[in-house]
Amino acid sequence: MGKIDSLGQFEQLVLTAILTLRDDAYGVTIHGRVEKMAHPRTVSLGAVYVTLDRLEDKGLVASWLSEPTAERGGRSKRCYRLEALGERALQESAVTAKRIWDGIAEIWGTEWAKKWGKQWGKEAI
Amino acid sequence: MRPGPSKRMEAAAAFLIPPACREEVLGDLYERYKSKTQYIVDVVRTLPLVLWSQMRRTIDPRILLLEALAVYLSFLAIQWMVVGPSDFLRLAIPSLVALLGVRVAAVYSSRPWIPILAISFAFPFQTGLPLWTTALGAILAGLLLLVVRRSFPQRENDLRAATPTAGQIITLDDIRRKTLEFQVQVSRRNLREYVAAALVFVSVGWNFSKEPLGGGVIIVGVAYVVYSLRTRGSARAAPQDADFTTYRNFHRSELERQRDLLRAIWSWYLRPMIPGIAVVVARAAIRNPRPWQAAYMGLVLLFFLGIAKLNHAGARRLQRKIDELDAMEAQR
Repeated sequence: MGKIDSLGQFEQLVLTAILTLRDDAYGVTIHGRVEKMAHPRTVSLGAVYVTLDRLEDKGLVASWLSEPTAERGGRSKRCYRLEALGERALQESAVTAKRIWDGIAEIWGTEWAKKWGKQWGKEAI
Repeated sequence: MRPGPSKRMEAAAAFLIPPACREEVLGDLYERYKSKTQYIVDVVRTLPLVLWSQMRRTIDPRILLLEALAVYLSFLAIQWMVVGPSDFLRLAIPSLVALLGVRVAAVYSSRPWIPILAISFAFPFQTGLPLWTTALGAILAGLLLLVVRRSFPQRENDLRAATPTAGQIITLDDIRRKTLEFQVQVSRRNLREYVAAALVFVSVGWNFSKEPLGGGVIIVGVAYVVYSLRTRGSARAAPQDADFTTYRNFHRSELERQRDLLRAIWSWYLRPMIPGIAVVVARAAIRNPRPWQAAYMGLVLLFFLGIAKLNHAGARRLQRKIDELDAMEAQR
């Protein structure tokens, strides 16, 4: 298997969005999911496209054009799925993020972790 | 049916969005449509990033360096002829603008003549240079870029067009077509080189009385290149009505021959040109020493280095084709 470069935070968000969207991962839905996860930061559609292209170049995701649909003015969607390399990269990122969270919570205490988690709309660990 | 942008608005967006991602981006923008203003804002915000991403995917750093040198040296050469060696930094401005125009144009079309049009981007950025410098420099740069792009096709955004070839069975028609296509490519490449050599002979001959020694060495060098290309790089006539194995063996031997030619690019193509250029620059330095002369020689050597690297990359591509042929033969 190829060597994986470490992922940037935005790349991790995009990969997570593709993972959670399963068969429905394309530009608009990926953007919506990433914006939800990055809240309250706003995310531009163009930034999502740039990141998707970069991830595809790295071999972490694969894409294909679907059938055209009337909802999109008779145009196709470009759908994405994680490749094995992408899954591994995301797993490594998740483990690193967990270690960071645990390290911070150890110093600042679990009460802080709960408060911080609720403030940003996440479940406390 | 959900509301969407007007046909005119969508056509304008389609014109601006690069072809490689037009279908899905237009579809996504249509799906997000809420109002005219929102659609326009979406297009304006999305377009620069999409354009940047497509440029990144189609740029080969080695070809970019070669293009940059070709453009700058063109403007420099014309400036030298029209005014004399001067304004080295100022020449970089129209050069950079022209190069940017070429790269943007390349995202929209893979046709080799597009750079000639895109070079005209440099005109508004003359920055006080003589009009002749910009006009003739742009024409020369366009011609050089045409040669570069014909010789080293830009990277296609082919991730999405790639189809797996492992296990592909190749028929007699396939191998015959591949053989003939390759011979046509080689013939066209050689024709471009012969035309370039003829232009060098004409321009050196025109100025022969001013620089007979340097001109003579350049003519000898170019004649050697033409001779080498003719004897070592000519396309051989493909067999007619032969069987699969004959075509395959012929095609493989031709790939090997051209691969070896590209690998040896320094010995038969680049090195013979250096003495003539060095003599011209050295004699100019003796008559009228200037600091730019060493820099010019350095730029020329850098240009040659770029050409060598690109030819070696071409040799590696040919080797991959040879390996694919061997793999297909093993599967038959």
